[in-house]
Amino acid sequence: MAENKKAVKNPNQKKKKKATQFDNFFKGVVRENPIFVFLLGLCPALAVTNTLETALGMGVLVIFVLTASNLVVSLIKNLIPDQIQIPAYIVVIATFVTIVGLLTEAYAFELHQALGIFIPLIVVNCLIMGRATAYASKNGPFNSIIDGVGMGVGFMLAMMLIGVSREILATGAITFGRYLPLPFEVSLIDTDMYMFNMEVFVGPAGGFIMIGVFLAIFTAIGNYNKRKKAQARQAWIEQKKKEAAERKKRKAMEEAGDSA
Amino acid sequence: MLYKLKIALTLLIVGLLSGGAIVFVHTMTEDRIQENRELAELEDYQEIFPDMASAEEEDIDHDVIDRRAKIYDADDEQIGEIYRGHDTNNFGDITVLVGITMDFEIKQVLVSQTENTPNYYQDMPLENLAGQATDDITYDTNTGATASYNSVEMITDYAVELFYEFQDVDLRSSELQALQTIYGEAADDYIEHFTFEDEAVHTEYRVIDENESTLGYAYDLDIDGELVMLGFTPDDEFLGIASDDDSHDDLSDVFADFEDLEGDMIEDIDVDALEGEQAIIDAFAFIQDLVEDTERIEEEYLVRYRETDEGYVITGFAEGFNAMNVIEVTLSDDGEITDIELVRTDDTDDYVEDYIEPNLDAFDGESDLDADDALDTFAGATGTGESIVNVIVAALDYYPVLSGALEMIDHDVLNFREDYYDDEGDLIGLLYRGEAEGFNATNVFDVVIDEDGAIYSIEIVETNDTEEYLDDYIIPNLEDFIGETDVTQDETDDAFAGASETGDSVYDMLSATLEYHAEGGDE
Repeated sequence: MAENKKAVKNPNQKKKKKATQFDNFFKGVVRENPIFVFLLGLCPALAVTNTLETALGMGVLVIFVLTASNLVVSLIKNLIPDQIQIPAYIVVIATFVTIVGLLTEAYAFELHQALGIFIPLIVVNCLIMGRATAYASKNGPFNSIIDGVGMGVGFMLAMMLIGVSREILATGAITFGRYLPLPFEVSLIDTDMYMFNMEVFVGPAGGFIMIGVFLAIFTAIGNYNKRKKAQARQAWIEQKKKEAAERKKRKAMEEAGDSA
Repeated sequence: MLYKLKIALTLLIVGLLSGGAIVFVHTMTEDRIQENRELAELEDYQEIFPDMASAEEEDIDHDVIDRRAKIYDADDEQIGEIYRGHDTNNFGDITVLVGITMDFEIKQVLVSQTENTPNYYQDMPLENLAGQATDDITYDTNTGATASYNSVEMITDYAVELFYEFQDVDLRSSELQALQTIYGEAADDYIEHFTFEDEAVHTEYRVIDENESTLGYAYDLDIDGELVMLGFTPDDEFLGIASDDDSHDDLSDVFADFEDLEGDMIEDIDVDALEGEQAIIDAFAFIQDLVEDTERIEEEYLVRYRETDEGYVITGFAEGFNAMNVIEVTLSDDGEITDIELVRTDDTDDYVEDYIEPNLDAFDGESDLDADDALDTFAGATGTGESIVNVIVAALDYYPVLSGALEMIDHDVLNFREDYYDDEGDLIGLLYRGEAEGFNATNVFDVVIDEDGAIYSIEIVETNDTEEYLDDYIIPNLEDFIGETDVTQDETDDAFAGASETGDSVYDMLSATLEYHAEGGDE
């Protein structure tokens, strides 16, 4: 009987039960990717992803702010009265954004100049406030840090994906070391193919196009996965029906044999 | 209550901790940030002047420009100067560097730091400014980044102004230089009073001193591309002729032909008998025709008037949709509008024909107009309509002066006076309108002086002073002055103790009125 129960268990339920810190971290990278799935933080995704380096820089800053604010929010959540939770969280986030702005201007001046107003604007990034209220205010510090880092990395990877696509389409090359405080400047890719020289990808229009393309891809993958899951579930139901029919048949035969 | 206290305390602690954290990081990074900014600025200097070998910086005490850097090349020759200016527009702070060569050319203008939207300010056509002469900078009107570009424009203008100042270059306009040759240093500024089209002179200027009193009227014309100015007193006495630059020897000879006319009234000059430069003779003829039978008006929107058998024709001009519109308003002896003519306009023909001209008759018979209501008459061509309405309203307002009912007064405190009648229509005396500095701003008063030279009534027409003080200390004490023929203010007898500055304005007004009235209207 116990074996049967195990055999008929829904695969989705099985997954949920096995959720770990690893899952907590990786959910933000793909399954709950802030940009491509939740459509959060689109303003910087449009504005500063014209190069891989600025996208990476913004990603790192967001990881810092997101993780630090998640940690602080999870630590103070029980001390803050419900009425002022949101303002208090905003102050926490704004503090970290100011700190990150100062640190960037001091230690990564070129990046600071390149990102400009979009550093202070991190404070209004919905992703950060969203994770503070939806996750950090309901979970412990460790889980909140993991969530912050995971979501931040997901955000950064998405930004980099858009950044690398836009930069290569706009310039035909990928350079590294111009804005980040690195002791070198290299061309990671230099196609020298001027057919890629599509200026539209330098501006916000290019950002919209690129995000649209990636959203389409992510949605297609999501739909494919959903379809696969639905098919698997249907197959599982068919299997269960078949097994039940066989059981019924077997039982009927047994009953017939008994009566014979 | 306790819960509210807890909320307040929590917010206070969160705020304090946040502030503390920010202060800590700021202290830690302050020097490095400053160093980074200065380094970046040096790089910017290098970008503006690639030949730069060294720079000598000095701080400037100015509202917009805070730093001047002299730029030297490898031979220690000064090759230019860079001015750093700041502005805060709707999109945040912006810092602009303006490089100017020693040849009075803009070398380059660049945005060194800003919080303005990058995608906008980065696309500003700043390269268009490079190479332009500092005395004739053309800014782009359509940049797509209006706020940022306005800041750049303002900072560039100030930078150029300071550069001229440091280079000890005369900043006076050509017009002012010429006017000062005629009127002397007293000519502090000028107002372009009226412009003419295709006539012997281009513009009529009202020349004013530092107190904005009229020194005279001047007219300009071109001779071989040089600006030439003819100056007259307010009574149309010819004062002299000058160009913007004394170094024009050939022009000095031309002007010498007309030196004998200095001191003559314009109407007495026999234009046909004049010899010399024909352009100047034509100008004299034109001015003679212009001032014949007309009187000038020094009011906003109004230029001159002439008396006719039926009344007055007042000429005025105001900014229309494209440029200045010239309007003539004809008033009857009773002060009613009998005709309005749009003498000159550059506004769109279709709009003028459809919305303006058919409606000009609508004001016939009017003697008092509300500007907002009047503007509705020209709905469809608001820009042109507004200019016409401004002139009409100004003309109607000026009618009492023309009819003699109202006498304008050239006085520091008093503006005008007019006959004052009581409710029964009996003449009481003269009403004086004047203004004096109060506590917050200028207070406007009406003071009536009766036929015996005593104060009959005092009214505060306009004030921005504190209502409470007015009610408590000023208005109740105004009656003390009724019947007085002499008002003096001293510390022991101050009727307005408690609201001294507003009180001072009342004393200023009353003493000025009584003094002016006692002297029979001569200041």
